[in-house]
Amino acid sequence: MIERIESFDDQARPFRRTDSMLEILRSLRSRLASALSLARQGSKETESTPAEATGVLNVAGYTLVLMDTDGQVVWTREWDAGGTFQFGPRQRLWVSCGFTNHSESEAEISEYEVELMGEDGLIVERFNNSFGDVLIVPPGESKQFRAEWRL
Amino acid sequence: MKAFKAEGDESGQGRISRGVEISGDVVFADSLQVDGKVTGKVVSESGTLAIEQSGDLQADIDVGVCVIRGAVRGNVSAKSRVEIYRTARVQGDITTPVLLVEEGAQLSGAINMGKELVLPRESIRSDAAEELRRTQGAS
Repeated sequence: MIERIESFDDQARPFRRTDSMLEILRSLRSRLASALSLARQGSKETESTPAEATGVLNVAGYTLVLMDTDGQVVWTREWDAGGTFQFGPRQRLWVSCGFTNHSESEAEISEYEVELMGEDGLIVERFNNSFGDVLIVPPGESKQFRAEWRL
Repeated sequence: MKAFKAEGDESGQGRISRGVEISGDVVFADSLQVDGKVTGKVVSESGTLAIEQSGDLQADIDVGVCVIRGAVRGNVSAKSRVEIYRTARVQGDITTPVLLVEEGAQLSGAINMGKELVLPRESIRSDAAEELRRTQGAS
C-alpha cells in the first residue's frame, strides 16, 4: 500500500512541478507588470517633479530655441524675466519671444521651444511647437513665437 | 499737485498708501506699491509697479513689471511682464511680452503680446540645461 502511494506520488510529481512552475511564471509576470507600472508612474512623477513638489515654479528667465527640419538648433536666445516671479496653480502664463532675422539669407524654421528658466539657469518648464510646413523668415523680418502654460 | 516723483527711501521703494489720492504723472525708478488712488499716468523705465487690493488706478501705465491685485482703468504696457491676480479688476488694453493671469481675475480689454522682450541674457546656458535638452531631444 505504501509502495502504491509512493508510486502514485511519483506519477503526480511532474504535474505538481508543472503547476508550481505556472504559478511562479504567473507570479513573475504579475510582479513584472507591477514593477513596470510603478516605473512608469515614477517616471511621470520625475518629469513633473518641479511643479508638483512645490506647486510653484520660480521663473527667472526665458529661452527661445528655433530648430530646422532636421531638429538642429539654428538659433537660441535667453531673456531675463526682469526679476524672479512665481508661477503656480490656477494661473496661466503666456510668453511671447521675438526673433529677427539679421542674416542675409532666409531662416527656415520647422519647430520651436520656449523654456522657462529658474534662478539657477535650469529649465523648469518647456513648451514645444512645430509647424506643418517650414516657416520662412526673410532677412530683416521678425516673427513672434508664443508659448502658454497652465499648472 | 500735477506731478509726483516717487524717489522713495534708500532701497528705492516708493509707496502710495491707502487713503492717499494722487492726480498727475507718477514717475518712479525701482519699485512702487500703490494702496491708494492714482489718476493720470504711471511711468517707469524698468521698475516694478504693484497695485494692491485697495489700489485704484485710473491711469495709463508704462513700466517694466506690473503686478495687479487691485483696480485699473487704463492701458497697461510693461517691458518685462504683467501679472494679474484673482482680486484684480482691469479695464483697458494690455501690451506685454509676458502675461500671467490667475483664475478669477477680471480683465476687459485687448491683449497685445507682440512687444519684444527687452532684457537679453548674454550668459551662455549651463551645461546641465544643455544636457537636458540633448537628452529630451534624443527621446
